[in-house]
Amino acid sequence: MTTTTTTALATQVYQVFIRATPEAIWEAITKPEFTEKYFYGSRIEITPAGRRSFGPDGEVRGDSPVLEFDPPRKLVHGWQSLYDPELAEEEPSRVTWEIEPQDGGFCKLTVTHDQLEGAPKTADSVSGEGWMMVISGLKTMLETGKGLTD
Amino acid sequence: MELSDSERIHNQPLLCSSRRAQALGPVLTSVEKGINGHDAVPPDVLDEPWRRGRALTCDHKVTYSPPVTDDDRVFKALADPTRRFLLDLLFERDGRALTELESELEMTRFGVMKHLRLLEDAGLVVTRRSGREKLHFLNPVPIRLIHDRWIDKYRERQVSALAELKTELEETA
Repeated sequence: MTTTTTTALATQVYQVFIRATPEAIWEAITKPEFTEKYFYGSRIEITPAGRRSFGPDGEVRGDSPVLEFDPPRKLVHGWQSLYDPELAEEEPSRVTWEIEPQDGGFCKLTVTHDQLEGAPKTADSVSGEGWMMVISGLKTMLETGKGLTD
Repeated sequence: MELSDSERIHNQPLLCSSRRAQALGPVLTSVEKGINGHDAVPPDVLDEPWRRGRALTCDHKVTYSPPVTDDDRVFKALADPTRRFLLDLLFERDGRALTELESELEMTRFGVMKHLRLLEDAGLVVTRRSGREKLHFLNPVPIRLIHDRWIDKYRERQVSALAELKTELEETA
């Protein structure tokens, strides 16, 4: 494997502009009542102690350490796809959420999934549709208020 | 574009209410536009301070508050074959340096940089520093959002047209 192909698989970057406050985005990322509305139904709770994700039937989908917890700006946590036995065997990777306020009531949200060198199948499964559904769902939820007001 | 307060007030009557929603068009999603495609904008959406400010200054064509929510930039960025080629290169293998992308094109370094900057402005490319290198990553989210907003919308109409036809045929039968 050459260095360049490793880079290609090892890092994925997703970016979106969301009309919401940094605090609202932070809440939406770290509280299970919000994540279940856009994160494939997963109830995800992120605290400085760790990131735990549960499926609708209570099955554990993720249980990873939190490496940086700086509300409402930056969040770094580990990633291991426990929802699939084949993916769960791979080495853990890392996810970074960065929230940067922009002019006009917008925020730029950048999600970087990296350190995927030891998890090629995970890299494949989260790329494209995987993260994109989560990020566009998060945007829709925050901007239309769907799930936040009811 | 900076306007003084007096200019703001002066500009206000230029934007009549019927054009207001139109002026806000690029930032309104199909959801906000209502099911029938009418400009059924909920009042609370228009009452947001930044939207109000934008409507008053009439500068919606000059200042892009949120670069990516404006589809124009994405469509413009995609309207060029070189830029589409650059996106394809990154799709093939993500996280490339300028030197590497440059080697695939019959173009000056400056030219490639210009195209990359346009792609970055449209949010289609995100750069990350890795040591001494600046790596370019394909950000597929804006294309996804355009897909959701435009393609899905029209597909929905086709589906509902078929559904109406079915009801009509069944009623007359």
